[in-house]
Amino acid sequence: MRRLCQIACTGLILCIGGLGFASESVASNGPSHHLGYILSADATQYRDDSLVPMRFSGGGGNIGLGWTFRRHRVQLAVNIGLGASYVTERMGNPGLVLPLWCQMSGYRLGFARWEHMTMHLGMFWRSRITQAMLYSWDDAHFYFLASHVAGPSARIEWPLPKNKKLIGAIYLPMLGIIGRPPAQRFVKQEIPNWDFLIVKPHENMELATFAIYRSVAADVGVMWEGKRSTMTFAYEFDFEYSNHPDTVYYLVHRLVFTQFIGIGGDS
Amino acid sequence: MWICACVPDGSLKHRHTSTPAVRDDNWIVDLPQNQNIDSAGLDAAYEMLHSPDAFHNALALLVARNNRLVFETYTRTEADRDRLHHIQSSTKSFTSLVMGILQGRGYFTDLNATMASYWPEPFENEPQKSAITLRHLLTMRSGIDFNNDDFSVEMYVDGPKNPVSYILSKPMYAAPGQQFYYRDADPHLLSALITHVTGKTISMWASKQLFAPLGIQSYFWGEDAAGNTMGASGLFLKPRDLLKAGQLLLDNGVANGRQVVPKEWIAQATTKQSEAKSIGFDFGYYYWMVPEYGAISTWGHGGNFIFVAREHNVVMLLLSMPDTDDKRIGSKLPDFLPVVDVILKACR
Repeated sequence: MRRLCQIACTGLILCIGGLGFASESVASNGPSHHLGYILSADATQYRDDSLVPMRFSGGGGNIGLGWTFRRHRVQLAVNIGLGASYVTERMGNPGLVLPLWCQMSGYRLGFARWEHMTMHLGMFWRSRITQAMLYSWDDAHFYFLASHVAGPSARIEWPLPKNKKLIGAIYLPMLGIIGRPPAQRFVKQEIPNWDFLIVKPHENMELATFAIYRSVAADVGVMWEGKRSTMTFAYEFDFEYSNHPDTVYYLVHRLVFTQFIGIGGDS
Repeated sequence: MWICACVPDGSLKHRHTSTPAVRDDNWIVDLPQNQNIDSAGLDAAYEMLHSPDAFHNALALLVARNNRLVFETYTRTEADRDRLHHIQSSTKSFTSLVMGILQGRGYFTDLNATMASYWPEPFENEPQKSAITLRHLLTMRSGIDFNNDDFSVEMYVDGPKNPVSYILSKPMYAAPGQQFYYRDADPHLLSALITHVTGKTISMWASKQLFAPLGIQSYFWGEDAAGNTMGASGLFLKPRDLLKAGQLLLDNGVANGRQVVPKEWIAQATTKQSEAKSIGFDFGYYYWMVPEYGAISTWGHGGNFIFVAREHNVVMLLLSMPDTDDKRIGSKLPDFLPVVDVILKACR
């Protein structure tokens, strides 16, 4: 019983994660600083062959905070988020997938323009620790994919009537490092061990070459622009894969709602 | 996958060959029929192992008869043959073998001696526990109330610097010797005592006096924060090496012509020393009795068994994922007995 409580507490503390890429779209005019929140509903799939070659799928949510800064033709954004998904495999055994992440990005606004569409081009850096507690298959260890990656990103905006925009973005991590559990785990019991939240996922880091790590994220949605606030509703596709040391997949279909409020002076 | 945007689901089991691989590891490989085993029986065991309704966490099944390896199959990947696997509480049986080796060398000759007589300091504040004998520790009757889930978390995660005092500070559920209560604390106390008395850990003793004579070159055995080998769990071995430990029991402690473990110890360790009504099997010195097959078995969490059927001259190993919950079919010793049954019935 005590162990179950400890596992539950660990899970609660880990219940932080998720975000919304779409939050990086902010009003094209108005205040230079925006602060906002991010809420999402996730359809999560996770498979880690280090444990069992079975797909765990289920649902969950995220909560996050964001900040954007815009001046002239440059925009910076920082989002942090925390989340949890309850997942089961085909036999019904449960688990929890718990992402914790932070993303920073910078854009050159208006990099290209067509008749109505505008494209912003930039770079992003994302750090994410996805912990999986698949306790019916392993009640002694966490399974995780930690990735610290950077790459190009592009956003497009297409104006719609009534202060709305159709928005879309794609993120392609090209460079970084990843952390995965070692192929042979000799410690009998690692749960609950608080250093497993942050420290353990970074003990076995590898260069995230294309041969061992692939990831892509994209979103499409609608943004409402107010005088000092923006709201966005978007669908996001978020995928990570690694074969180091065994195959792991992390795939999320996410519906994201964000609201950002302008603070400070106009840009 | 990209079209449906789904992560592919995979198979838990694959139908790999059951013909043993020829390796330079002291195992002589043979055909089942040459050892008077009906192949149909082994085929039936193979099908049971691959049942969609059971043994989901199974990794390997190996069978040897007359000191010949006749069946070897891996359900996930054949790479498991060369990996070290955690055998959970089957570790206790190796602790027992080391204890036997030490007794053969003149240590711990009186099992009715108290632990405190060898090592009084930890008992200075625990007079009630000073009556705990070596036999109590070997038969799970110390009376110390420290359940196994808490033990794993507290000993591996919290890592007390003085594990013996920590264990001895736990309350008692019964007076020493009164009642069987299966738990990890007892073999761990025994391990710490061995380190204290001999100056070497169980792992050190096992390396030279047990694993080397068996031809076991690769293993891992965890330690507590004080450097004592974990007496109850934490041993990792390769499947074929685990089977050698079973063969050692069948051969009354002899391996490669050498008496590795005293015959008398094997006899005592593998006969009933405690009645374990709550579990359904009697208990020797860290071995379980299965009298309906004239057999003994180790029993590690998740479904890790080294099963020794003396009357049939057969040794079997079921290796499973070590950290799954105990509700799975295949993770308890009674779940394994139907497989044992078809294999032993195939023996002529």
